Amino acid sequence: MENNFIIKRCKRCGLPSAYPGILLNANKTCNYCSYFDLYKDREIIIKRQLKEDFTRIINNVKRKNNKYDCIVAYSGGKDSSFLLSFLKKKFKLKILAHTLDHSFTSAQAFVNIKKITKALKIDSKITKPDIRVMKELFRFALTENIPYPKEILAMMSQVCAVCWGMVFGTTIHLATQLKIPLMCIGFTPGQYPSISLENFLKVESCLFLSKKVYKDDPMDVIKILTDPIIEKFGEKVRKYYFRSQYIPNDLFVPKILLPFHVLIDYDEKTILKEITNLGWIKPSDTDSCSTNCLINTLSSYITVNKNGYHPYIGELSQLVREGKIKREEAIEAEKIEKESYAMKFSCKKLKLNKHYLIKR
Amino acid sequence: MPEKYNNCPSQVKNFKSVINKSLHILNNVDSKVFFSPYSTIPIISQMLGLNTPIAGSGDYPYSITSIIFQIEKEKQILQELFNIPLIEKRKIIDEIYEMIAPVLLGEEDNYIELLFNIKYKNELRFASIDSKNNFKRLFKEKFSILQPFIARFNNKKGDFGYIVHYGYLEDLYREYDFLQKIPNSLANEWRQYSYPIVNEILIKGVNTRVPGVKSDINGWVIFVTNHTRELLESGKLRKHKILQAARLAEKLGAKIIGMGGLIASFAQGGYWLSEQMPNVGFTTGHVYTIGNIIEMARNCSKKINLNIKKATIAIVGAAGSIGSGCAKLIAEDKPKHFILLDLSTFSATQKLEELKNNLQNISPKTKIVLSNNFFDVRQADLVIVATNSPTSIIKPEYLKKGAIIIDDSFPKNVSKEILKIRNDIILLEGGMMRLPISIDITSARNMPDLMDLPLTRAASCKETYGCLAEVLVLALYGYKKNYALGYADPVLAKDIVNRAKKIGFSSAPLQCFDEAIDDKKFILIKRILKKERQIV
Repeated sequence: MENNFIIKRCKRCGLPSAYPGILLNANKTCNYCSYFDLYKDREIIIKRQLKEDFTRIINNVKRKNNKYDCIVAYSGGKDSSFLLSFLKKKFKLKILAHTLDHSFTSAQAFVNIKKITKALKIDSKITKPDIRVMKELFRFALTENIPYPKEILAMMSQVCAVCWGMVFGTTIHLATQLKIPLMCIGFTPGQYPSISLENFLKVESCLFLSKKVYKDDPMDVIKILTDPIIEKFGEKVRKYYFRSQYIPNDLFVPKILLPFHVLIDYDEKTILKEITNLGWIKPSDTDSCSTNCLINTLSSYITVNKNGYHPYIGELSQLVREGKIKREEAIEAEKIEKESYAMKFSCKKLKLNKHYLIKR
Repeated sequence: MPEKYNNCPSQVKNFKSVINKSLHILNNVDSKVFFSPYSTIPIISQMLGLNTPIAGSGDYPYSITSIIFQIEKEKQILQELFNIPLIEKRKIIDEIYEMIAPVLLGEEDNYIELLFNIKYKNELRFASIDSKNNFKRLFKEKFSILQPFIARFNNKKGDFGYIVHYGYLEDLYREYDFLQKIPNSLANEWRQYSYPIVNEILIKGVNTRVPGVKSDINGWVIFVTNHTRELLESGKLRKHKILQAARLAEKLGAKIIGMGGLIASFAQGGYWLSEQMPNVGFTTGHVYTIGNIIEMARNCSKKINLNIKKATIAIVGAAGSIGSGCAKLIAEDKPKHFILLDLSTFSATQKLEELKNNLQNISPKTKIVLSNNFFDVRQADLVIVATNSPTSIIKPEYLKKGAIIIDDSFPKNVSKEILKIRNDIILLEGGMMRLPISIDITSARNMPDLMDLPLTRAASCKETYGCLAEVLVLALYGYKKNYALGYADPVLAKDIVNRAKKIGFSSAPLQCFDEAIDDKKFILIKRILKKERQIV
């Protein structure tokens, strides 16, 4: 999708016609917009209830004598930086900020991690898998067709899927090991679907984790993300991943909250203002869709050329529906700087040629 | 606080409201969109607000976003559905799932008795006679509400069925939590009379250049709600349950039915089922499985420089369909030595003798030994395990250094623990197939890989067992007649492998307990074998 031909898009949210499962009606608006309209009222009701429940859970956790009340999957990006500040200042939680260093993180993101955790007096732990393993994983995600279902690829690129599974896996393993009762992830409402709200109603965790099986269980996203990676890389990566949403009876797992869905009204300006006051600086080497990751640019470039749509467009279109950004801004954010530092850095580090990858 | 899921049925008024309102809303949609009543349940669940469809699912019949333009004007009714209490909604979804099978089989009264006498026995313990009668009346009413709904959506639009059973009691208990809370005697009784669990699956986008092959198929995986051991122990139980499951598949519209786990063996190689139901095709699932096992054996042997012509091959369970089929197929490679193992019963011994003669015809120079002593396996370079045993039977001390072991048994006959003690062997999971990578596969409900049936794995890795893959391949070719019945036939094995390859099916990567075998492992085993040969 090199912008040299006109792409048919939803008139309202900007989703392109190549997006999985998209249908356009006579008004040229899409089925996902229609669904959003139909469900926004019930979402308001659910969110109202969940706000109380989230607060109750957080307060319950605080009452116990934990070394850490909460672990936060912390990338150093703007959303998770704000999340740390919010949880610390509003709830005074004892937090462990956990970062997965996947070796393609902007240097500025590490500076931000240090500054924010220091300013908020939060313990920080960085897990750094062997760089050779990370390179192998990313090369695999960039060059092979991982047999992920299209619902996964509608939400993220293969690289993000591989990496997200690892961020989730390493963070929940740490929480399990240290018996941390709460885990928070800085997903924005566009980044993770509102099924997280329904999951919470069922199991008090936004990511579904269950010891039992019911007939209305959601798709086992954890297993689906993990299986192909474990199958391919086995023992080398096993410890970094969590296997399934169905957990053994004797396993302690934290409750997982996505505070941006319920507790915080997502507003980028407020977020930037708050974290800037804490010393956070926007990295100059990342693309418009990330404030911490350098491989994102190459990964988005490959995905656009392979799938015909940008891996962030699902998230951006949701923000358009919610009125957080304009349709034009979403389409603008799709633009990829092919000659950017991030692109060159990733290609060089992985010894890959982006043109060769696309020809494949 | 989330409400606790208690063991009480849903209220009739809520049940009625859900069914009637769903029917009203879905009347806006062409009923042909749905294959069976099971197709509608994910949509009902989404209408109730129990699940949000995942982005990208807008072209699946199981996603409300695929029909949203037709139903968006019903906002008011959808909101009313949403307002039903959460626990009630979840119970209703469970009830609909469970009540469809008795309706299709015309056994509503039996199902009510099952609920009355077992599932809700404790809750009805102190109830008056009036209340007990009322309980039955309420369920009769629920059935009368559900029947027109089922009739409306049972379009019999389907290609295949696949019958399988649970591996272990624990898996069954995860699905039916209440069984853990009632006395064992009642739980046993429930399993005698319970109805199958159904999961509808849809496969889209098989990229085919072969004339007459379909690109999209759908069907039903039908789980017999019993575990291996109890099915092994009771012939009466297995006949009743397997026939019930097959009849259900036929009622749903399956044209050909495959068999997983030990179903084929329980149904006399499928002949018995075929006699009972002559209008549907059956296939055991064994021929694609043996084709795949032998392909795996050859691939793995190549990787460790094991020459099959000079190898000793042990088949554990050689009197069975898969064991004997594997032996016949690999006999074409003219191995040096066969050890055929099975029980010492008269019937097994007779079958081994027959197999020996058969193999001798295929490969006259091969030395063939019959045995019922596991220690004989220690001579084998390649061991294929395919038995009906519900537990692990292969011990570390039975295995030669550098041996390849392919375990195709269900439940597994070689435990994971063996690898901790013996890292000088290669253990492979038998019969794993890779589906064409370009396809979309989805199912009406999400469930763990219960009883080792990799349904989620089909979605995540596009891999599944050979027995399921066999019926999928046949359904894609539009097969409606019996294909492989009785003992696995090597000729059919070659035929199905060939057909499957043409439409993009292949062997899955060599793997064990869901992990591919690392190249380092092959190098290690190669070294061990080299050293062993030098010693010899």
